[in-house]
Amino acid sequence: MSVAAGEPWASLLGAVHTLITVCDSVVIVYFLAINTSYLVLILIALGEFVRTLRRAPFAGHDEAATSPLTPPVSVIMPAHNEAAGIAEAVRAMLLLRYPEFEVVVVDDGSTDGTLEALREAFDLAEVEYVVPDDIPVRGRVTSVHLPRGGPVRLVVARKDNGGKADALNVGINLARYPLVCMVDADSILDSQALLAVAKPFCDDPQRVVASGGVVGLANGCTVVAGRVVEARVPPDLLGRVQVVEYLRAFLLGRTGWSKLGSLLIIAGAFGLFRKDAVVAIGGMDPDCIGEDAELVIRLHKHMRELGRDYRIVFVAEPISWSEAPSQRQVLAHQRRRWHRGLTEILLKHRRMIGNPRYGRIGLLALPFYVVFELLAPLVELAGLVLVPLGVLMGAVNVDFLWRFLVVAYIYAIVVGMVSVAVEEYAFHRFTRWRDVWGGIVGVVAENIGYRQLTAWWRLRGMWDGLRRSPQVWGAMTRAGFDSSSPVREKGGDRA
Amino acid sequence: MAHVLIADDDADIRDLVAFKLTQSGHQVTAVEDGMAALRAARENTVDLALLDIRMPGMSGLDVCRELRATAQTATLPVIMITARSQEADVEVGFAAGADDYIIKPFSPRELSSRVTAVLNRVER
Amino acid sequence: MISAGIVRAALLILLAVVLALGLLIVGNRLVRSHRERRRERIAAPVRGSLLELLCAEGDEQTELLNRLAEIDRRTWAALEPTLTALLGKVAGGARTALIRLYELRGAAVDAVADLSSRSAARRGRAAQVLGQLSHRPAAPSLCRLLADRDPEVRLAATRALGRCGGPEAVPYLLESLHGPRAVPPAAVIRALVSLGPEAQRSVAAGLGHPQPLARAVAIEVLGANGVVSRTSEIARALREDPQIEVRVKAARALGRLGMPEGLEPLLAGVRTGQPVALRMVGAGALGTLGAVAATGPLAELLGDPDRHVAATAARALLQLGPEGRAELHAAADDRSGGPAAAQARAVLAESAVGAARHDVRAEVAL
Repeated sequence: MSVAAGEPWASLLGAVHTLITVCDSVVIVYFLAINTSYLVLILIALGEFVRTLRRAPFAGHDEAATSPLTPPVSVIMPAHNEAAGIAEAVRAMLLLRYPEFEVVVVDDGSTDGTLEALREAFDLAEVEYVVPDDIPVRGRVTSVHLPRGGPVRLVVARKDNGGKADALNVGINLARYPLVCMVDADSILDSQALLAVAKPFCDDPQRVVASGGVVGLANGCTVVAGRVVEARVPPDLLGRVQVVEYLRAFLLGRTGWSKLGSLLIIAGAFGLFRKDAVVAIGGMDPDCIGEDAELVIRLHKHMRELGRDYRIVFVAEPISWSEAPSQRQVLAHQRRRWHRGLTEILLKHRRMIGNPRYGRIGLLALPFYVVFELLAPLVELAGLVLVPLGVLMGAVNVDFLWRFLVVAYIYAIVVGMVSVAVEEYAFHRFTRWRDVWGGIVGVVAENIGYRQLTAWWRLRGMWDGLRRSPQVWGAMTRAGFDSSSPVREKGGDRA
Repeated sequence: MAHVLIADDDADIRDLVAFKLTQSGHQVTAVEDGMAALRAARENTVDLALLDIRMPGMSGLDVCRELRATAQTATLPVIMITARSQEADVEVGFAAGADDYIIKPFSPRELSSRVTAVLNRVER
Repeated sequence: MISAGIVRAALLILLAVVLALGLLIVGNRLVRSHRERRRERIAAPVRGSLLELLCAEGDEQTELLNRLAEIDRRTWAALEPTLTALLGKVAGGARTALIRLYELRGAAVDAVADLSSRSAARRGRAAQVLGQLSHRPAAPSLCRLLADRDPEVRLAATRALGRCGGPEAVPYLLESLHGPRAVPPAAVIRALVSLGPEAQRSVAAGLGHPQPLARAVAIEVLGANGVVSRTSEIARALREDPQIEVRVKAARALGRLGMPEGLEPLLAGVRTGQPVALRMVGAGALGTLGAVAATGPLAELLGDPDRHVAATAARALLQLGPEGRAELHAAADDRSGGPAAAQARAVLAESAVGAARHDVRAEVAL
C-alpha cells in the first residue's frame, strides 16, 4: 500500500469514525427520548385515572344503564371461519347490559359452516331483504337471516368474501341505530362494556364522534361462557411481555393521547362510532391493512377539514379482552402486519404529517407516530449494529458505553414498572401476587430481548408496506379460551 | 314452607332476598351464577327458583331453558328478575318458560308476595 | 459528551426508583386488601340490622332506624358504600326506610353544604346523593349548580334535579341547554321526563322559547310523557318551525301522542321535497300514530328513491294493521314494482319470521 493511497483511506476511516459516533449519539438520544415520551403519556394517563376515580360516584353509570334515552347501538361483528366460537360469542354479546341494541353478524364468505352454527343456535330463517347502500361494498350480500319468533335483536348477513373492512361496511349498511359498535367475533366483552364506551356519547352528544375501549389480553384469564371471570397474567414469557406491552401502549398510551385530544387508534376489537360520521367518510377502506386506525385518521381529517369541534375519546376501563399470539411465528406475522398497516396508513395520509391545517393531529400525533412508532425498529436495529461497531472502531468509550446502556435499559424498565404501578393503583384487575411478579418479569423481558426481536419483524412489515406487496393474511393460531375448545386458525389481527 | 333458590351476581340483592324469604319462613339457597343455579336446582329439592336474567356466564334465561328441558325440573316454578330498562327481557323470559317476573328495583315485600303467589298457584 | 459521573448518578437514582416502584406496588396492594378486610369486618355486624330494616314494617322499622342512626362514624363510613348501592336497588318501603336513615344521620344536610364546596368532586358527589335521596329542599341549590364550571358536575346536578326537582326547576333546565356552560340535551330531556305530570305545564311553556334547542327538548319531553293536550301546538311546530331539528322532534312526538290532529301535518311532512330526516321520522311516526288514513301515502313512499324513507314506510305500514298489510301484499305482488316491491317483500318476510327487528327505533336522533 503506497503512502499516497493511505491518505484518503485514513480520512475515509476518520469520516466513518465520526459518522458512527454521531449515529451512536442519535441512537442513545432517541432511546432516552422514546422512553421519556412514554413516561409523559403514562403520567398524563395517571392524572386522568385519578380524576375518573374521584368522580366515579357521580358518573351516572346506573342512569345510562336504565334510561330509555341512552342512544341505541348496532353491534357489528364481522366473522370469517368462526364456526367454533361464533354462537357463544353472539350469545355473550346479546347479554350485554345496555338498554337497546341489536347485533349484526356479517359472515364474510366463511367456508367452515359459521352460518350453520348460528342457524342452529338462534333458529334463523332466511328472509328477503333490502340492504341499504349507504357505503359502497365489494362483496355481494347473498342472504340475510333473522331469528324466528321472539325479540332476539339479531340479524345475520352472508356475503361473498371481501375482507374484514368490507364485511364491516356491509354491517354498517345493515345497522339501524345511530351508533355502530365494531367488535371482533373473538373479543370477550365485560357486561358493562357497551355502557362504558357509550357514555361519552351520552355526556357530550354534539361533539363525540368515536370512542374506543381498552383491549386486555385474555391469555391465561379464566373465561366462563364468554366472560372474563378472573384476569390473570399468563405463565409463559411471551404472554407476560405482551400483557405489559398492552398495558403501556394500549391502556396508558391511548389514555394519554386521548387526553391530548389526539387519539389516532381505536382498536378494531372494540370501538363505537357515530354511524352518520362513518357513512360521511365512506366507511372502512378495504385496501388498508390497519383499517381500524385508518378510519380514525380519516375521521380526524374529515372533521378538521370541515372545521368541526369534535372529540374522539378513549374510555380507560378494562372491558374488552382478546387473545394474543402465544407462538413466536404467529406473533411475527401479527407484528409484521401491524407495522405494514402503520406504514401504509402514514404513507396514505402523508400530506397530513406536519400540516398545521390538521392541528394537533398533524403537528403532534402523526409526527410522533412517524418518529417513535414507524422508525423505532429501524433505530433499534441500527443501534444493535452500530454501537458494537463503534466500540470495535474505538469511536465510543467502552467504559462510558456500558454504563450508559445500563442506565438506558433501567430507565426503560422504570417506565414499564410505572405502568404496572398505575394499573395496580387504578384498576387492580389482577388479584394474585403471582400476577404482579409476572408483570415485573414481563417488563424486564420486554426490554431485553422482546423489543429487539419484534424490531426485525416490524422492519420487514415496514418494507412490505413501502413495496406495497400483495396482502398476506397472517394465519393466527390460537389456543382456545378454554382447554376444551379446539385450536382455531384465524386470519386478521386483533388489537 | 318452601325451599327457594336465588341466583344473582349482585351480593346485596342475594342477601336481601335470602333475608326476606328466610324471615317469611322459607329455606333459601343463594348462588351467584347460572351454572351454580343449575347445579343447585338439580342436586336439591328446590320448590322455586328466582333467577336474575343478566348474570355473567350463563344467563337466567339459559338456566330457565335448561330447567325446562330436564324432566326432573321441568315443572319447577321460575321467577325472573330483570332491570327496568330491559323490559324486553320479560317477553323472552316468558318464552323461555318463566312463571312470573320481578323488576329491579323492587321492594322486599313485593318479592315475598310474588313468591307466595307463585307457590300457591303451583300447589293448586 | 456527558461525564461518567452523571451517568453513575443517574444509574443510582434509577435503581432507587425501581426499588421504590416495587415497594409502591407491593405496599399499595397490602394497604388495599387490609382496608377492604377492615371495612368488611366493621360492616358485618350491622349488615344484618340493615337487611332487617329493609324488610321491617311499622314500629319495628322505627326502632331499627333509631338504632342504625346511632352507629359510630367508623361503622357508618364502612357501611355507606352498601347503603348507596342499595338505594338504587330497592323500591317502596325499603327505599323510604333507607332515605329516612340518611336523613337521621344528617347526610342530606351535609350534602347541601357540600354543593358549594370548592372541590368539583365533592360538589358532584353531593348532587348525586341529594338526587338519590330525592331531597326536595335541595332543588334551588341544584338549579344553581346547573351553571357550574365543571361539565360533569352540571350533569350530576341535572340528573339529581330529575329526581328531586319540581315544576320550578323546568325553566332552569331549559336555560341550561345554552351558553358556554351547556348541559347535553339528552340529560335535560331525561330529567324533564322524570319530573312527572305536574311539571308538564312548565315544560309546555318551552314550546315558545326563542332557542330552537329548548323548543326541540320541550317537544320531545311532551311526546315522551304523552301530554296529548299539547298536540295542536306540536302540530304547529311541525308545520311552521324554521328549524329542521324542531320539526323532526315534533314529527316523532306527534306519532307518540297518537292524536288525530297529528295526521295532517305528518302527511305534509313526508312529501317529496321535504328534508330526508323529516320524511324518515315522519313515515315512522305515521306508523306509530296508527291512522288507517295514512295507508295510501305510506304505500306511495315504498318506491321512494331514498331507501331509508322507503324502508321506514314499509315498517310503518306493518304497524297499521290489516289495511297496511294488504297494501304491502299488493305492492309485493306487483312484479313490475321494482324497489317498492322489494321493500314490501322484505318487511313482510321479516314479520312472517316473527323477528323483532321491525320495531327498531330507526329515527333516533343523537
